[in-house]
Amino acid sequence: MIRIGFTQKQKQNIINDYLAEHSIKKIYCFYYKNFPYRYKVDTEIEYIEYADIEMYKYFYRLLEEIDDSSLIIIDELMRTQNRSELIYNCSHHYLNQTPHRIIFEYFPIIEDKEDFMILLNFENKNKYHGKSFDYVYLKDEDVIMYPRKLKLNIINVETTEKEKERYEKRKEKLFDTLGNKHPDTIPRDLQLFAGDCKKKAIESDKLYVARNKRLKLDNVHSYQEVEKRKDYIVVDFHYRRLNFNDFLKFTGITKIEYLCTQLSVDNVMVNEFIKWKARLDAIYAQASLYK
Amino acid sequence: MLKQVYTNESVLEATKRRIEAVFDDWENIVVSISGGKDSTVLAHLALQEAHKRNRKIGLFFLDEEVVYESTVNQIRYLMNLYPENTNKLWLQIELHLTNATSLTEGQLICWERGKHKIWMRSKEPDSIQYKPWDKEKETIRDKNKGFGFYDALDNFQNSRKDTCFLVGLRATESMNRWRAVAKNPGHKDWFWSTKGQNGNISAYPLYDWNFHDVWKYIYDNNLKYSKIYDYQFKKGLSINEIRVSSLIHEKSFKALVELPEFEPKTYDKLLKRVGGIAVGHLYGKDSKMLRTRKLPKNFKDWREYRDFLLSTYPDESKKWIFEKRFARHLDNNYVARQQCRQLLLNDYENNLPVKNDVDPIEKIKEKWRALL
Repeated sequence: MIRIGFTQKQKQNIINDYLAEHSIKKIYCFYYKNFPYRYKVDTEIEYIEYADIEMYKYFYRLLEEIDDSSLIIIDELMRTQNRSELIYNCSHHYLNQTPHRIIFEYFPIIEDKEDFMILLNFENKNKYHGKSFDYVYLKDEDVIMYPRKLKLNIINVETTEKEKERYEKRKEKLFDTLGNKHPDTIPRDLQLFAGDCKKKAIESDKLYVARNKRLKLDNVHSYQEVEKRKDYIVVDFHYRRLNFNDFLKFTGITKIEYLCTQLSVDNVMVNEFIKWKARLDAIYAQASLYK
Repeated sequence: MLKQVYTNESVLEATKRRIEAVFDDWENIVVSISGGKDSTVLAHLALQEAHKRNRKIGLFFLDEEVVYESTVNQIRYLMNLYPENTNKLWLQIELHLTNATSLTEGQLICWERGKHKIWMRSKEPDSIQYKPWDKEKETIRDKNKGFGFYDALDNFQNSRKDTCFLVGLRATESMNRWRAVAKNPGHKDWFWSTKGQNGNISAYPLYDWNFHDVWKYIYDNNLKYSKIYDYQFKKGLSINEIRVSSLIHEKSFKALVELPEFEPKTYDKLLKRVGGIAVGHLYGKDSKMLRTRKLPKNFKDWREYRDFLLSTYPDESKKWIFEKRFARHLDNNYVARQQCRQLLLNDYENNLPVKNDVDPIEKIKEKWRALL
């Protein structure tokens, strides 16, 4: 079964129900280090971290141990868009050995709907091997989604002519001196510049998140420092989608407030996010058709 | 895309059936062994069938001299598993091997006459120590390189008639290689075989095995295997990194990084035997050195680095090969990085070909210029 967007408590209940209905001797829970959830169960449970999945010291032992009395929990393991990732392949070998599997994930995609095939491959690799995503698969498999409806709220920050001039100059300099750096570093750098222009709009009684601690304000946290269940206003989006998704997952934020200048880089960032949100909403909408 | 399709027959049953067919149709059978896990399984299966039929088969090992000691031990083990059914074909002759770790000593002549004092080890008493083919008919693929590993394989195969060579090639290791192999069956409808000269064929009965099938067979039959796999396992290497390979050519020099840890004596002997070994050990996995992933900071771009490497390339007799080859390439950083890799690995043979393409970075740059 694939369960999307469930809370820790809901996941615990799903596991409890499953254990009550099936005779399970041991649970193998594959998890990612930043989300080390622990479950309360009477059955023996072993936690294996994402990076260890491909290691020989686990691989052969698990292949020998896992049988049809084992339950495998794939706990938020979608960490790369590469479907052929060796860690995924090793997981398929384990999953192949038992009919008991529960796949949890917070968002159904990292970037686009093709990512959902990673979850379907966990569910049944032989069936979906090499296939592209089709919404029909949501009907074919036991998939339940709890949609995380996100809302983006723009807080406009006034941008002066001088800042716009400096931005243009910086942009030209970045292109001219790019050298061997990857061009993707240009928007990342400009985003930091735009973030600096937002400092004047930061209010002392609110919490903010930025890409790093350059603003030197106590109420502006970096993505590594964010705390659970706190409402943050976003100064800079994280440049990696997966990390920003992790931030949303960790804080539980669904209403994203974003400080936005009139500089073109902010326009790009907002557009990219809106496009991603549309792809996410499309899959939620299709999933609801079948449930 | 090639796909694996599962049937009701296990790969072991299918392979036993294939090997029986080989024994039915071929009088002369030779198994090529390397000391790795795949050829160990193949040799064991073939020897069992030979034993059952009271026949003899050849076990062929082309000894490159600079190999792991564990490989040599594994070959000795296989050659002595069923002595009454084995023709030992352990070939120890002079060969030119590419040495990717040294710019001044780009080749190693293994088993070189007159240098027996610095050989990695003595020759086996019962090995084939002289070329077992007519010298006048000998073929060489690349005269600049000299008589190499593949020349020895070609000439050995061509020196025999109506022989089936069994090889432990598996499709999952390289689908493209397999696609090339499976195109034209070498015998009957055996799509797992290819045609050779003099009525010979090469057959690949393990073609559909996965690596875990191989290990299961080794475990189930309590076979010995190269200790290198254990060392790599203990070191925590991931599945695709674990392999027993040659030690010095351009695709395997990374093995030198761990060699002193796994087999200190082999490393010590290798240091004395050929130049560049310490470089391979220190920099084999270094992204700025032999992997050529990062540009050293004192160069503006890959083109400048390539020009530097080319201008300081020490072997004048080979420099022209690079100059001529690079003159046909596009002049951009994407191509230049690959050219740097060829120069650093002394790949004058062009074993790591350059993808002569437009720099993909330019497109990304254009996109950002339009958006930002």
